[in-house]
Formats: sequence, structure tokens, C-alpha cells
Amino acid sequence: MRRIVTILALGLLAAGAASSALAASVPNTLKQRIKACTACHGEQGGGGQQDFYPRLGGQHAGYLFRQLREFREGIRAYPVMQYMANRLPDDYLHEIAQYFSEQNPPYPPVAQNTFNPALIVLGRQLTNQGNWRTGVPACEACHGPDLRGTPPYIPDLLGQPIAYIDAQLGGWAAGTRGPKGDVMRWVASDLSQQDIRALDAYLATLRPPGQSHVSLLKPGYQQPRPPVESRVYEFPNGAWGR
Amino acid sequence: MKRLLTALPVLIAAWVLALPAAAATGATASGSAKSQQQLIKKGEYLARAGDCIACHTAPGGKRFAGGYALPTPFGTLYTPNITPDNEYGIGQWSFDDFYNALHDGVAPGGVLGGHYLYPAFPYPSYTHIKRSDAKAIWAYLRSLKPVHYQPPQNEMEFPFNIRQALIGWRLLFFHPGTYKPNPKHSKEWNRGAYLVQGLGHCGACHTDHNFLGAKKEGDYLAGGAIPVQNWYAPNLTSNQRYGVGGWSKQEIVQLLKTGISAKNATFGPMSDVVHDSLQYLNDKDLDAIATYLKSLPAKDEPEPPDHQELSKEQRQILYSMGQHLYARHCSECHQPGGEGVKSIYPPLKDNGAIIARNPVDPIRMILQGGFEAPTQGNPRPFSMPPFAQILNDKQVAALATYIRQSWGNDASPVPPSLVEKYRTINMK
Repeated sequence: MRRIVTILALGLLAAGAASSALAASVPNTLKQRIKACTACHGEQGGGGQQDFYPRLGGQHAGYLFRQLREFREGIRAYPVMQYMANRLPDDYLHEIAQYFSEQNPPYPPVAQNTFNPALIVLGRQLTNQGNWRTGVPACEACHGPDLRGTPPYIPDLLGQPIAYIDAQLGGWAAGTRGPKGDVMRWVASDLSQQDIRALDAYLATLRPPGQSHVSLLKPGYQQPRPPVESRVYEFPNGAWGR
Repeated sequence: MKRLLTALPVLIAAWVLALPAAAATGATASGSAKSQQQLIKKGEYLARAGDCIACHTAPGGKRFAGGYALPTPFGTLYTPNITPDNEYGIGQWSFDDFYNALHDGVAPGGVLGGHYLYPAFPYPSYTHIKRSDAKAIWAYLRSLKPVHYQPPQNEMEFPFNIRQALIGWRLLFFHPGTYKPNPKHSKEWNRGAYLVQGLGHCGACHTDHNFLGAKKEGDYLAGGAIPVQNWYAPNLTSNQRYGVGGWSKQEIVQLLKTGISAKNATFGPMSDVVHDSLQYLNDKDLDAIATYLKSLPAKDEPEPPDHQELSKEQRQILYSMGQHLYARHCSECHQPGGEGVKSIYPPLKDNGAIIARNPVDPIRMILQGGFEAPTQGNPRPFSMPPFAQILNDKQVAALATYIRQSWGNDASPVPPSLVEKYRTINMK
């Protein structure tokens, strides 16, 4: 008992010493240290559904670390993130990645979108089956049937804002995201404008089971029309206004 | 046979004579290998002090292989490969070639023909480097693994793409000469002056430049606008208001070593300098630098080029708006009295970078925030959120005005038009 008391006392002393080393007015926590991250991504990494900021909470730590490193090395181009990650050491990036991977922020409700339902159908078809004509593989093939990704590096696709998904597919196609040889680069460059819009629309509506706010994913959902590929590809450019 | 007989003693004699010689060479070889190692180590340290790596390494590229895009007001330069690669690096160079580049800003002849180097390579500072130090740096660079990589071609605009044009610039602004110790000062002071003026090339940013990109020598280290990068490098003289007059030597050393001290934190390009270079200097050299800086006579700040007058009413509106915004967004970390949190969040009160005549630093820090320099002494730095995404130009101007005019700070207000200018620039 006495030993426990001593240990406790020592522990308190150590804690006291640690907190007095830092000024009392800010907590010495990672959350406090990374205010630059949470200003946009949210304290739990929930992102912004109406904005551009991706959801980081619950994402695989390996994937998040790799993205941070690629920003730091200029392999993934986005000025704000390149500036933020500039010269931060790997250990710290790991710690930040780990922090966000352990969060579980609520999923925001799906924004009511005005997309042509056919676009959703095409998006789902690409996601589940790919397009053998253009050589685009199904997203499922790597990201898994539930699209939750595969640790460490293949990301969870659920809950990202539509503008973010759109920019990533565009970034891969344009070569401003990921190293040369990254599989997403050639996948994205084989996507048409319609494909990208369709994937944006579809992926942005997805939520994990039990969190679904739209009827699209529920069993028994009736498609507005059958997914006739030729018909889907007849849609003119520019018809997909937001 | 007879010939062979004559040859034999000669051969034997030669062999006998060669023995001690060989032994002697062996001894020097191992001795020189050791001193060579020491020389390389010294060179590595000096190359750190000169921060060669910062410009001669592209983001994500191999160390010292060049290819870093260096924007200048006259076009973009791509830094050369300084690994000992025979084709793309300095593999074919002699020590004299290297010394001429450092000391005179002239690249060696050969296939390309000798040419003048652009002063973006800070040879107006490196000219002060001692030949013996240059030898050590040379030994270090030669010890690197050659990288077979060709940096992109320079994209300089006419007429700056004509290197001969540099003759005039050199005549006007370049004064070659190794550092001459000042006998009136201590050894420590002289070491500090040597590091600051030479390898450290602090004046490249902390001294204002004229329109041709040359340092205004009269304003040496009195603060300078960094062209193209759009940051302001604060005053380093003993000026109480703007410079390090109110800093202790220890606080200067602390900042250079860890990126943060009780007086301020580094940000922007200075964080890179601390990360890549200064954190590796030993305490003796950092002390020497602090001694030298503390001895610099106080100089006033250069006047910023675009100075827009605001009416009294405009100033009042900005100030009260800023006061409101400060309480909401800033005071949690920087404290209501602007004193910050010691060695975590820098004070805004009496901070030379905040009240500098040129207000670009506070404007940009509010817009883009960022992490403090990650260093061995601060490997998990604290950070500041960016505000560009939630505050408009007028709000940022109001905040900058408020912090420049509170708690005894009495700097000029910040017009919203200036914020607009910095919102759209390259962040780095």
C-alpha cells in the first residue's frame, strides 16, 4: 500500500513537473499541437461535407501517413498541405496520422443532390464492376466490397465530400497526385468526364451500414432505369451541372 | 645472361630502396585517410552552416543533386547538382574551380566555357569563406555519392538570361575578399562575424535589396523584404524596437537552435534555415553569432515600398473589428495581453516581426498559419491554424491592425488591399 502511495506521489510529481515545464495555459496534447490541422479537418477529423476538406477520422493510419509524406516531398500537390507538412519529421507525421485514424466522428447527412439519377447508376456500376471497354477496374477490386479500404495504404472511400472526390480523380488524371506508377493515375486517366462526375456523385452518397441517410443503398432500392451502358454514355458533356 | 646479371643487382637495389619508401607511403596513407575523414567531417559541418542543402536539393529529390526551382524577380533558376557526378555534377571540377565559384562567382571553363554565376548563389557572402574552410567543404562534397541527375534549364527572362550582363552587376555590387578578422574585437566576435557574413549569408534576406537584387550595404541586417518569396526578414541589429536589442544572447541561441525562444518563433523561410542549417551548429558557434549580432549598432528599418495611408475613421473601424476577432480567434493561444505562452506561442507584444514597418509577416501568418520549425530540440512543434479560409481581406487587415497597435505596439495599420495581394501568392 505504501508502495502504491509512493508511486502515486511520484507520478503526481512527474505530472506536475511536466505541466509546469509548459506554461499552464495550454495543454500539452497532440490535439493542442495540431491546431493547424483541425482548423479545417475538425478536431475529430470529420472534414467538411459542404466544403473541400476530406474526412480523416477513422481513415487508415498508413494511408494518412503516406499522404502527409507525399505532401512534404511534393509528390502530392496541394499548396496548403505542402506548406503545412514541410519538413515535419516522419515520427511526428506518424503520430498525427495515428491520431486521426483513431477518431470516429459522425458522418454528416448526405447533401440533397440534384444529379441525374442515371449518373448515380453509372457511378455505382463503375464502382462495383468497372468498365471493361475502357479498361477501368472496379473500385471494389482494391478498396473492398464495402469500399472501406485495406490497411495500411488503400483508403476508406466513405464519407468524403463531393468536391474532394472530384479534385482527387482530376488530380490523378492530371498527374498532380501520387508518385509515377501509382495505379490510381492510370485508372483516373482512363475515366471520361462523365465517369468522374458519376463517381463523385455516387461515392459522396455512400455511408457505412446503419448510417445511410439516402435510400440509394438500401435493399430493395429500385433503379430509375436499367443501367444500359450505351445509353449512359450518350449523355452530352456539360449536362451534369451541380 | 650477362645482361640479366647486371640487371639483377639493379633490381635488388631498387627493391631495397623502394621498401622504406613504400612503408612511408603506407604510413601517410593511413594517416592521411584519418585526416581526410576529419576534413570531410569538418566540411559537412561547414556545409550545414552554409545551408547548401536548402537550395541544392529539390523537394523529394536526392540530397545536393540540385533542381530546386529558385524564383527570382528576373526569372526562375534551377539550382545545379553539386554531387561529384562527372556528367551533371561537379565530378570534373578541381578544387580551384570550386574555390573560384565560392570566392568569385565564376564557374569553370571546359565544354560549356567559364561563366559568371547568378548572385542568387550567395557568392557575395561566400567570398568571405577562408580557403581552408572551402577545402573542407570541397572534401565533403567530393565524398558524396554521385547522383546522375540533370536539373532543368534556367528560365531567366531577357536580358537576364545573358550572363555577360553580370559583368556590370559585379562591378557595381560585388566585392570579393576573404573575411579579415577585426583585431579590435574578441575571437568569439570574429567567429560570429565570419559565420554571419560568410557561410550563414544572413544578409541575403535580412538586408534590404535594391531593384537589381543587390544588398544595400548601409542597411546591413536592418531587415529586408525577401523578393518573390514575399516574406519580410526582420531587423537583426540592436534596435530595441525592431531588432534584437531587447533579446538576451541565450534567447538568440535558443531561437537559432530550436526555432523557438521566449521572444519569438521562426516562421516562413527562417524555419527552413533553422531546420536545415542552424540547429546543427555547436553552442560555441551559436554563441559567437549571438555575440556578433548583439554588437551590431541599432539601425532603423527600411521604409516598405507600398505604403497606403488610411483615414482615421478607417483605422478605427479596423482596430475595433480586429479587437473583436482577436478575442474570438487568437487570445486563447497568444493571450489577451499578447504575451503568448513562453516558448510555445510567440508573444505578439514587442515582437519585431509583428511591428516591422513592412507588415507582410503578420498578414501572411494570419492567412496561412503553420507549424513551428521542427528541430531536434522541438521535434513535435505546435502550430497555428490558417485563417485564409474563414476570414476575408478586411477581417485579416483588422486583425493585423489590432495586433500591430495594441499592448504598446504602435506600428502602422494594415490596409485590406495589402491582404488581397498576399492571399493569392505562392505560400512557401
